Amino acid sequence: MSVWTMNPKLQAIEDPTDFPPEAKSLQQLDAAVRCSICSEFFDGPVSLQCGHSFCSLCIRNTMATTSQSHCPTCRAPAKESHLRPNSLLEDIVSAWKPARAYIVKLAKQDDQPARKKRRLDESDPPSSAGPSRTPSANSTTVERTQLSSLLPMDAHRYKASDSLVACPLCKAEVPMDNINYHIDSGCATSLQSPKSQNSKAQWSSIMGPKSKGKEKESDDRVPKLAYDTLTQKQLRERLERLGLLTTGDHSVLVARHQQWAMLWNANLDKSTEHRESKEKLRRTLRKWESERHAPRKEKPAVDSGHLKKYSSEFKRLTEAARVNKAPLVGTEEVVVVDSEDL
Amino acid sequence: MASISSRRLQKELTEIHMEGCPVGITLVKADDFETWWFTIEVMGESVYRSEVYTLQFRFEPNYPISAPAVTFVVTDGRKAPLHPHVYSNGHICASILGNEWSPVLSVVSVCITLQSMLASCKKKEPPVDNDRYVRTAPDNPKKTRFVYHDDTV
Repeated sequence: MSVWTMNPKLQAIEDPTDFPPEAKSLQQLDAAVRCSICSEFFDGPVSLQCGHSFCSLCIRNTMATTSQSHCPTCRAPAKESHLRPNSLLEDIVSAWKPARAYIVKLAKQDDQPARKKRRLDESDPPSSAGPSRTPSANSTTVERTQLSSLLPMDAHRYKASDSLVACPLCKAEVPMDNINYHIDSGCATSLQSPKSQNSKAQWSSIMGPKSKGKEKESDDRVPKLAYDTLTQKQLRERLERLGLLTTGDHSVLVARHQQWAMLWNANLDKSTEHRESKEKLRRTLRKWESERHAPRKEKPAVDSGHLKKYSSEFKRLTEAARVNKAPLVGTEEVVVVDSEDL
Repeated sequence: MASISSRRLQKELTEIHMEGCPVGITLVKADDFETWWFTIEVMGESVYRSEVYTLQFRFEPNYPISAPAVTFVVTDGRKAPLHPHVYSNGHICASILGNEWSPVLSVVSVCITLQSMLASCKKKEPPVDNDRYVRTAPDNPKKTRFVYHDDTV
């Protein structure tokens, strides 16, 4: 008997084995979009220089807790400053989550006898309706809508019949009517061909305001502090500025600040729509703090028993070490001299 | 936080149930998300041929970020293998359980590593400092600071 069989609620956990063994590639796909630390879907994925990705919070937590400076997967050197948000992976995860639910449902239906019939149905349309017609009709509409949406407002000024000329200076294709203006402005105007203007304008409309906003927010990253050089008062001020509790002794304050920096910075690695609110992060921090203090009560009990049991042994060892200390320094010096001689 | 470790362990357990353990490794009990028991046996030609040992995993709330405490069970007639890196109290001196632990490792991967550690051993002998260590060893091997010096076995 194990928890797995005992608690039906726990079986609700999703993992790659939800897919049937025949669908090996689906299992692989499902495993690929999971963090290898928490084995959940990537939450704010970040990549290291070696190319391995983890949830931002997972890898930050690992680096902070174990003070390891290498990739957990391949042990390549890695630093917290190397972490780069992997927005593609994040998009894949958010698309995969609903998709997998759908596929799992289909796969379960597939196990039932209806399987054969549906397969037949699927193979029907190509033979009767002809596959070429539907896609081509689709593609033209798609092209049309794309074109109209691609064209920015001022691009409509140019009719398709407008003749384009190559600018003698920058070789860009410019509408005849605008060539003078183009040359006067030192080829700086984006009035090249309507085509390139389109893409440029579109890029700036996509990238411009959004990336600006992101940059502005990422400026708010909480930096790591040299905690030893800060006084308790300064630390409290920092915490207060972040809107956090300022109670507790130095070590509590430091731990709180470190944890907050981790939560906060990890949150910034997510795209804007996936970010948690500041209030939610504060709740997470409070929960972490209360859980952190809970298990402390048990630990000393174990330690004191151990200390008591071996107290005489420890005493003896301490005595022995004290006696040995003086001559040890001497031998060390000798060793140093030796190595210098070499 | 308990939920991170229990969710991750839940997934590992599901995988063990769905896909089974590698040859020579069997899940004995996993009644909670704190202590699991496995038996391991070295397959093929080995000095430990047809000997079955029991491994105990103890998990902390922040597993897998912190390593599990892994020991051989030495109670109820069970014994630790005689191996230069395994103390007679069941403690194991292996770098992946200490400073080389990585959160991407799993319970099964630890079992495999220990299985191959036994398989590559040519001569059954206790660690050189066995008696001294066992006398003062803490209950939890994670409190011991091992020095990893020997890569041969």
